[in-house]
Amino acid sequence: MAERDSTYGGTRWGRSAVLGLPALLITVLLGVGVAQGALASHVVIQGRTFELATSGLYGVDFALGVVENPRKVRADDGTVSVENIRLARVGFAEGQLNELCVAVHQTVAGQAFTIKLHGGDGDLATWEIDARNVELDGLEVKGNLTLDGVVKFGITAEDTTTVKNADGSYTDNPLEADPTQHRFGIDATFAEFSRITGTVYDMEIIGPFEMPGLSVSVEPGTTSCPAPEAPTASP
Amino acid sequence: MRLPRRRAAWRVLAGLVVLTVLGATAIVPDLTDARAHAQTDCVEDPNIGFCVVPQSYRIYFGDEDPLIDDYEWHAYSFTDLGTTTITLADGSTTTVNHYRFERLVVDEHILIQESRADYGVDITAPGPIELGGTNANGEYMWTDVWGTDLEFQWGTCAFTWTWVPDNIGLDISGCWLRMSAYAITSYNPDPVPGERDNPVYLPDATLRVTGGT
Repeated sequence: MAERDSTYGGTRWGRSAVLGLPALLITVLLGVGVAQGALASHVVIQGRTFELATSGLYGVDFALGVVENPRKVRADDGTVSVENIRLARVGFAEGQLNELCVAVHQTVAGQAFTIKLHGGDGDLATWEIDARNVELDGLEVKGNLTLDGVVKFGITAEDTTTVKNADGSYTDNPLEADPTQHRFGIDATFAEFSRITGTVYDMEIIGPFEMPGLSVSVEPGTTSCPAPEAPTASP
Repeated sequence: MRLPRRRAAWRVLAGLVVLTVLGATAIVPDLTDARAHAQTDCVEDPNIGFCVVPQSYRIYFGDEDPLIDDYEWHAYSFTDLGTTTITLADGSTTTVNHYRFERLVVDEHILIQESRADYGVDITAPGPIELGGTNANGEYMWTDVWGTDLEFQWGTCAFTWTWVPDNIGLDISGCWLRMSAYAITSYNPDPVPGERDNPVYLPDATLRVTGGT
């Protein structure tokens, strides 16, 4: 038994250090952010599709447009190619969320894991998560969609207005749509979505982002966020 | 027995570090804004007020029942504001009709569907759906559509109509409606943030982008 144990081999500390040091640094950064109830001023979630679920998403200067998103795809033989897919890119200049859950599915050595982020205060009557200049890419979004103010369907994606520059002016072509394709877009003064679920490719929050009650967990297997309940009060 | 347990513990720790790395690659506070926003060169229609997609998309209100249809959409006022020429984003022009719906409600099934060679967009909702109801101040909200190929049924649900009188608002309940649209605008004359008096209300809706490479 002792002989068998000795053949397991040791931990490769050099490699572990190369991997571990940046990870620990990032973990510390995240920890500091969590302790302060806020993350860094610019947050990116990308690299693979993930599930997003929120009870409510309310935003000013809403825009949606079809954009092209190049993705690296690795074939079974190991070759990597770039595939251009069409996605719906959604933008808000100022946003509030009522509870948020993100589930990222990973596979390590054949074992499936789910990294799950949850934020919010657990109170469906409060819209406790503040964010500015939010953009996310998705293939499908389901939920109650309401649009207010002046609502435009059929505006080209490159002509929408949503996120703003530092001086408060609207960013040109904020969704980074191909301006030669004139693809479909939607623009609204305000938007309120409730019980939202979706498959998302990327999420970027450029402006200040405050998310109380952030927790990160790793769960074995492929799990999903619970179905969001409807908010019980307006934002 | 303590040595294997310690090794096992280190392996678990190493595994957690690897998982942290994988997680960190997915969730990274980024310190730079690398986005480069391309300039737009689309042509804005002077009357509609924005760059209009150069290919029309389909609008469907209500289901066509092969046996007996019933009323599936209602408008306090449905008006043809006349024929007009609009400028599309690519600089070309096309002739369309300008329709206005006030307080439009669709009881069952709405579909806005754009189909292009390299992608499609579907927005569906089972209903009831509002496209311009009454806002919190009691003011009517409305929806303008610039489009062609209008078809709808009303009255006995037996005949298909392709026109409405010019500049006369019909208080109408229809059985179904189809149209090709270039632009739709819904307007709340007095929006109040958070009042939930939205001119576009699509409960249980699905927005889906189809297509790929």
